[in-house]
Amino acid sequence: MAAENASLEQLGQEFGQLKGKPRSPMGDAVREFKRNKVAMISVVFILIIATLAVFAPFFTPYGFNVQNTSYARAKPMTPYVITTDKYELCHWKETPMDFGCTVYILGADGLGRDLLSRVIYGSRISLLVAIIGSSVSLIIGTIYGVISGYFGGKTDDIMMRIVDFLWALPVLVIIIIMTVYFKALARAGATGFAGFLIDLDQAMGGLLFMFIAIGALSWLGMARQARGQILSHKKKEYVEAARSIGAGNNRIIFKHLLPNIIGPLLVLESMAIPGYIGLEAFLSFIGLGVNPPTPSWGIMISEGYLGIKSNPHLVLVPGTALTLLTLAFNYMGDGIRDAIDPRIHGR
Amino acid sequence: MTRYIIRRLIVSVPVVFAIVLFTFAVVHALPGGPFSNVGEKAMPEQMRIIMERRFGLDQPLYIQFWNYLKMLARGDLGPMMRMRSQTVNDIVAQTWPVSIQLGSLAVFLAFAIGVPAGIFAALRRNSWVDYTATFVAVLGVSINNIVLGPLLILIFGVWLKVLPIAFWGAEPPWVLGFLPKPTWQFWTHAVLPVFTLGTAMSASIARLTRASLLEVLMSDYIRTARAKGLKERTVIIRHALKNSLIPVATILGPLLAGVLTGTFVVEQIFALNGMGRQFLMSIEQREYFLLSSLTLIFSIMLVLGNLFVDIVYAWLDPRIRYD
Repeated sequence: MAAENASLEQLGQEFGQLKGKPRSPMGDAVREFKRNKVAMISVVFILIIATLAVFAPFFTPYGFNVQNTSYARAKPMTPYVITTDKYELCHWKETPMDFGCTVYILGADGLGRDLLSRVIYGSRISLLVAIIGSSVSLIIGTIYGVISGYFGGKTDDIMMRIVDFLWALPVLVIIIIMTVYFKALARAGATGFAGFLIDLDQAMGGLLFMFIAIGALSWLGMARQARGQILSHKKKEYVEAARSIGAGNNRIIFKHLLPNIIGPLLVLESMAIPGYIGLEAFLSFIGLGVNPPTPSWGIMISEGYLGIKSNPHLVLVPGTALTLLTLAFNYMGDGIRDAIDPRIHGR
Repeated sequence: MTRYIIRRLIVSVPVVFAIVLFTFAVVHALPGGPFSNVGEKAMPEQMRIIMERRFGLDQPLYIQFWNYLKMLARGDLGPMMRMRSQTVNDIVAQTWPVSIQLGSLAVFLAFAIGVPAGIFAALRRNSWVDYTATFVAVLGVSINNIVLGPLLILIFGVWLKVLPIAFWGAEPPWVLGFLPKPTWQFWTHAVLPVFTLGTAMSASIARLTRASLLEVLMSDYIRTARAKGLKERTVIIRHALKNSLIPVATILGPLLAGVLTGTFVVEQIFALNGMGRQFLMSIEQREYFLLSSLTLIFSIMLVLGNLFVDIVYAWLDPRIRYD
């Protein structure tokens, strides 16, 4: 009898839950994500890096381009004895803290620039690339894929042919050639629209061409995915229902289709972010990325790896930063996938 | 199937042509030419004009392109303009095998480690084996070639001093035109570059294999197979594995692109005389013919690679039909 009562009570509680607030799929996903410890730690880590990046001047002991050649290739955490003739170097105006001048927490590079400062400033590039890369790819890819999938027929044929064509190109080779072309133009000086682009790129420290490169590479997969999602959804009953009560194309796309297909697209996009960060590092490494002295982790590694035998910290410091950030984005992407993808629910 | 392959090849001809035309136009539009300087100094004006005339650089671009196409039709990839003891054919014959060897060894390593690791992790799900494998795989995906290469050099070359840190261990003449002589020197030199290139790939293959095998293991036909009393071994090997490898095959496409990107970096880090390094050098030195020809080869390899990937899909998944 008592057991029966208990189970009844349980049932009552479950009913009580049912009577509570209705749960939305997004709310479920967020709740699921919050239960994932590793993913949450990654998000916190990324937020910390983002804070450091945004407020870099407040957290860095030196500017990213402040050279102090007396301390070139200083080892991490090594105190340097200040001799009187070198002491004045410690009092130059860019040095905010006196004691900091004797210890480079993460060492200094070949020009005597503080590695900690450069790594923190370098995170700006990686994070910007992550944000811009994913937004560009998500926006262009989704718009393209939705138009192609929703309107179908000839439009779809032509649009997908274009994607197929671009897919078959050795995009990386083309990007390298284009980047070299623009960089060479920038050196030779150009006018008109090209000149305007080049000035803009210079002002952004070489980031503009990076964004163009990443944007050109990344939206193709997203467009295919968005189209596939639209194709599988547009014949469903809820779309028919919406149409039958007189909803127009815009309303169906924005109110009904997009909210339903955006989940898988977000998953795909979050999984792609580490790729953008890696691509930036790669391009900067082979000398086609951001312009020095703007610090990017890829450039720092390429400057350091030839002297790795005597000064491993020049590679290890930016390398660790790059790996940790990529790791965090990977874990975050996995977390988002597990939270949104219903097939993996409850595993 | 044969008709499909032939049609794909025919369709890709204009693609390759467009790429080569594009490259040819852009590299010729680059400011500065192959003869604008000798070392650090500028080449005398008269000399430059004579040199440019010798290679036909003074003619209009479309004539130059037409001449280049005629050269290609003869199987001649063009002359080297700055290093005239060699032709582009020589350079390609030396460097193409290096990139191919590096790339295929890395892909082989990726599957040889990735697939078993993924299967093992899926079968021992939620055990420490699984957790370790999963963590190592995420780490492997996250570590960039440009970090892993120097790191391996530091550990195995500088600290432990057990492996050579630069150059490819085999040289022309190649066996059959592209194979290395499998000497001890070759294998020791290959270890670090191949691991640098293959680690990320094997990690993503392991992750895919694990996820896909887990999904297959929960499907109805596996339950049926178990219910009719088959041994677990048979269930896994005969029923689960082949189907779980279909999604893994989808990585072949991105893998091709990854190998291409990777060889650029790895050849740079380990000072290997491969195509990626030549490509970057040819841009720097404005070797128009070398650059165009290398782009041509990259494009052809990509087209053939994608075709191969599609054929593998069809072979693995009978539901896919091309006609």
